[in-house]
Amino acid sequence: MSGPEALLQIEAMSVRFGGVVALDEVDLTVEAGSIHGLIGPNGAGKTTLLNAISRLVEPSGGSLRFAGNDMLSYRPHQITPLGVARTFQNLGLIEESSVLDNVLVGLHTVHQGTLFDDLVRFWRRNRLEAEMRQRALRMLSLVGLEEVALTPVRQLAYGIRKNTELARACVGRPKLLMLDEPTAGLNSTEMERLAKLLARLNREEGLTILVITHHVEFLLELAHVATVLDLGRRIAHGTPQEVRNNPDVITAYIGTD
Amino acid sequence: MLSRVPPAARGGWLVAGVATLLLILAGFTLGNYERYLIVIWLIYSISGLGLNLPIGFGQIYSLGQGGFMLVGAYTTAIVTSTWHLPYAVALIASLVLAVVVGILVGLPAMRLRLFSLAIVTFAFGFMLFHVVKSFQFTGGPQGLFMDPLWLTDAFSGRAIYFFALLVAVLGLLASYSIAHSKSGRALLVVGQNETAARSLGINITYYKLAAFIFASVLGALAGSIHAVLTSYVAPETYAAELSVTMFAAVMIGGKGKLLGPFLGAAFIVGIPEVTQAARGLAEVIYAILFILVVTVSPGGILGILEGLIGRLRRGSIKAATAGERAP
Repeated sequence: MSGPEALLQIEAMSVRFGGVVALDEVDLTVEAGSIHGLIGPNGAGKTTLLNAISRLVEPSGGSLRFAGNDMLSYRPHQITPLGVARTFQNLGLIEESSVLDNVLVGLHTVHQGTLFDDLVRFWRRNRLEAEMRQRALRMLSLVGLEEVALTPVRQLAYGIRKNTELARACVGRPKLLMLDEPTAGLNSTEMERLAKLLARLNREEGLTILVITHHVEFLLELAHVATVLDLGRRIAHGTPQEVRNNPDVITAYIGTD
Repeated sequence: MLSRVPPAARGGWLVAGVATLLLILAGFTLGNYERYLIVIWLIYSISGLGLNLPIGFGQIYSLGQGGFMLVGAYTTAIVTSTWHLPYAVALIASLVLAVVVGILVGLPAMRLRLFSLAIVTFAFGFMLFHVVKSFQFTGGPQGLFMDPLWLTDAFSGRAIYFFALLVAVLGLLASYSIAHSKSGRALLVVGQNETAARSLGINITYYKLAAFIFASVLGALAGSIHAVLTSYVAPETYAAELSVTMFAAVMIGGKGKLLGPFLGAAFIVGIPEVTQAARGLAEVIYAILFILVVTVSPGGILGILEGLIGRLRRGSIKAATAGERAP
């Protein structure tokens, strides 16, 4: 298969937890500029795959390349500067801090300040903080959160918190954004709005997106490509339409006999 | 529309500024004993400010703060009175040693969490207590009597008073600077969710260790001032109990709140003063306070006060809450 060079290339990746095989020689290719859906029944290994890409779990075999880097030689906190960002199923936000402060955390690796700046060189700290704040506020207005910028996260509704996490992941202008169940807990209006926002980020910012979702409608509307996992294996791959009509996929979801 | 200082911090600055002015005035007008009490309060506050960073921001429950105070106190005593060097040298030596000990204890300890970390740091303080008790050059069980220092008696005790005040103000400024910057935010995420922190590119060990060293440095400064104030260091002063007291002070005052340690320290110093007649009563009250705070109000006493002020404000101004607006 020729074409544009893949942004993310996973080959024969396996992950084991004790005796359990969570991923079994999975291949995944995410093309730059695409929106790639990752679906599958519960326990299929979708989150494990995202965690492996984030280097949060150590694969027992296979290769993982991102934008020309061998990701397996990096430690988890070194992944972000390469241009990988993600959200979690159970939002990892700072509850007492404001939306703005939470989004500023997304600029951690972009922010040039050091501990020494924070403590001693306050003039440099103030300048950098002001720059970063501008950037975070621009991101907030893009996702429509500027009005709650100074509100502590714990006072906000679930959908807004999810958007805060999305803003935090996007603010550093990653190359690849990985979303773990962004549609969970959203109503249909919120879901539609999210699909529009992601499509816009993809179109206007060239953001490549790898998204786990349970919602087929969401996937059909948004994704260019879809990969289906079941019991740690890749069982289908293609356009969302192709995948939906694939007999193996139907079996995996509904069961046989 | 966004000012540099968040609205919640403005009230804090007002309190801190007025308090500092009052304390400067008090330094000139109060008698010896009252000034002595205030210095003791400032010493606990400085140490608590240090401990507040790991506990309140990084959820690093360190129970070894007394050990760092011991390091500062004994270093000061040995450098000034055994080696007869100026206090400035003792101060620098205390700081350097605090950093070194902070790294030595912190590097292995920061891999641990919650209970294991509390136990390891507690054991560290306990060990130091026994070390200084066993060795000749630390004065053994009796401790060390120090040479009279200029700083102890200058201006009839006012020099040490203003020195302690200066260190406390600097400690507060440093805490504020960290709390409202990249490092503080990173530490908060580390405390709340390590997985999220990693995926945001935050080096967890670095920030945990930095917080721990911040605590050790301020702890050692507090210990050093304490040694100068009393001209005497003894193992019992820096026993494991001190670590527990410091931990409780931070929790009672309100962990993660910059003025919390000052409030918590006021209870350490204040309750024994108020209950002088009944021996042991101070400890009982202190223990009850600790239990109440931990079970009823995790935000500490400052958290309760902020809640009350917030409620009053909301009562008077019908605040325009944009909270429910969907994006």
